[in-house]
Amino acid sequence: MQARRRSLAVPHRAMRATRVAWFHAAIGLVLVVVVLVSALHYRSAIWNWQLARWSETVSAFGIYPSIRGYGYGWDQAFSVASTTDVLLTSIMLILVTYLLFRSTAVPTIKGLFAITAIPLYLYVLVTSLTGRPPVGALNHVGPEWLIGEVVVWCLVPLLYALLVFPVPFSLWVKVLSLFSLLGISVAWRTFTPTLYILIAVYSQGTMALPAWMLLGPWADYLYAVPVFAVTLSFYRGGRAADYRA
Amino acid sequence: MLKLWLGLVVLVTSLYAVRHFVFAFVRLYLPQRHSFQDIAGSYLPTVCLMVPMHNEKEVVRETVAALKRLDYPVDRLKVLIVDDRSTDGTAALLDELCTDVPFIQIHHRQSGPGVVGGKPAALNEGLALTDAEVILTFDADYWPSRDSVMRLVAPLLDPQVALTMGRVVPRNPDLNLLTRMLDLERAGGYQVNQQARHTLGLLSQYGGTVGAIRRSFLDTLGGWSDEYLAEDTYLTVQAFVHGLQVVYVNLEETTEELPASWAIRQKQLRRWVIGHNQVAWRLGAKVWKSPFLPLLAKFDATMLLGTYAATMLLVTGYVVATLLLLLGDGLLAGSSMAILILTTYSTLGNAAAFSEIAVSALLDDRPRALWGVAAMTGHFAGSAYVVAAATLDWVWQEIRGRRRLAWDKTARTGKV
Repeated sequence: MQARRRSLAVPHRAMRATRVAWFHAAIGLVLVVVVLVSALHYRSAIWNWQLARWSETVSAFGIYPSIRGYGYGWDQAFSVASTTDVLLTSIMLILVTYLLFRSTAVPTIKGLFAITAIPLYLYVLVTSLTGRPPVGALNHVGPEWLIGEVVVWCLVPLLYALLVFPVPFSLWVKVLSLFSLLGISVAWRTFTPTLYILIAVYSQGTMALPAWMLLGPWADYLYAVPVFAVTLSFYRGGRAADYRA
Repeated sequence: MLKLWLGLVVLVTSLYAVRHFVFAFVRLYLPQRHSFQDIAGSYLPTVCLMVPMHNEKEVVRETVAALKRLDYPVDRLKVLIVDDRSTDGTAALLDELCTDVPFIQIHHRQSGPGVVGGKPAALNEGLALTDAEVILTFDADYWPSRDSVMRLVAPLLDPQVALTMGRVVPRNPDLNLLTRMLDLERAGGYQVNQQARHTLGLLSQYGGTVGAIRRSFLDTLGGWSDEYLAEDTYLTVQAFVHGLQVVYVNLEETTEELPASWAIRQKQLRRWVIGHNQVAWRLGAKVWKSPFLPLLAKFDATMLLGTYAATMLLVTGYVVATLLLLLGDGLLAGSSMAILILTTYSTLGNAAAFSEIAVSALLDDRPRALWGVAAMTGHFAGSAYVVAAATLDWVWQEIRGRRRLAWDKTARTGKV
């Protein structure tokens, strides 16, 4: 009955629009400019630092990036599937998919299985058909991640300026959250490429694409959404003045 | 070709992302429209509130109790419960519970040749038993508030309004992880998405329950259509293309029972997907041909109708992106602009829907619920699977010319 009480206890709560904290909103806009200018100014320094960390980390595992400083000779490490591999993989995939999809497993498990199985199978199929590992695609571990990082630095403050700063709660929490998120994005894009390279090489390429989908340059929401949600949870609700039809 | 397809996927999903953010912003800060709610109670047409039921013994007691509490002149209100050949004792329970209530009438449907089951058929049979000016429909597990009828009929004072829709609030959100996720989904959908569309004068969705229909409009359509699994979306689009309005009433709150397991949820979502796609496929062009609608409203209505198709498009985008990675120089290589577009899309697009949910939790004074938003990524994988499977099934049926329109009833547990 909790929801019912919650729903009916506050008449007209449904029509409330949040009071705008104008001073905070102004601070948010200033921070957009500050972060934008800083990001564009310091991007090379940050990128170089990140590239050095990638190289150091993967070198410790006996992998020595060689191409343009950040790429890797994928063709040396990736396997090419044979016709027998394709046949066996197809049979296994059909069998597992049939059993799983017919089972009572929750759709979340089925969905996650499909997300993993599709790139895995396509890897086997395509390498078998073309006879070569997908070197062209995976030599570009660097630019996608790094340019994406600058995009994150530009867009996240903008989203904060629109959807977080004008909401009335602690300014310090908002500022801390914004800079934490930007810091996490640097850490994320330092950590994930190395993890991605390790997964790709140690699985001989077969897990490269599922890992790409999970750790690739589009996966920022995996940390951004939780930080965004936790930040807003500091909002302690409205006051009478907040009610505005 | 593959890159073109991926470009299309990015474009479409980016449009949805922008739409989500605009709605979140509008709902968060701007003054909201609440049509005719300040004068709710001054317009009192004759009303027939219909509740179709089929094997609802788990919820029938509370539903009838809520119906008895309705605040509306009894000489202008008839509650018509249409028992659709229940076999679990619902019929006897109904008779027992409603004997002393003059404004509640029970109609037991009879089996026989040519009698079909399902909600539209039950509603049409009920429609023949009333001549009320306004028809309200509530599903069996929906418990209206005292003022539900008054609030839902108020906007019909305007002859341009054909349909109204109230807000649905789950009453069992803390049952398990699934209900927590669905609770957040519902909150985002009603509190932010529906209300923002209403505020902006775009198409609000009539949901087939917790809503009012002008009788004259229903009569022009020949009652509820059993051609579509989403008869509610069909009514919404028909009103829209005829220049009539659908008004969303966020102040009206009715509680519902959320599907307590994925098995139940899967059936419900599957029905919505197929029904929605049917309407989009057959009536989508009519939206653009209608002379009554502004361009922006047509555009938004198309996006509303394409919600589930867009999810399917996203799934194809995933496969295409994988193929591009395998076959060529990668998704982005060689083009800074492509990198910029795709990463911008991914930064905004992947987070957009969550912004609506977060804003709804904020407006509902439920900051703790926001912690659940982080878990919604996994939930999305499950929903995407169901949507994709249902869409493929629907496409296959359309290709084969076979339209299986079996109505899957949403099972209730009565657990709160």
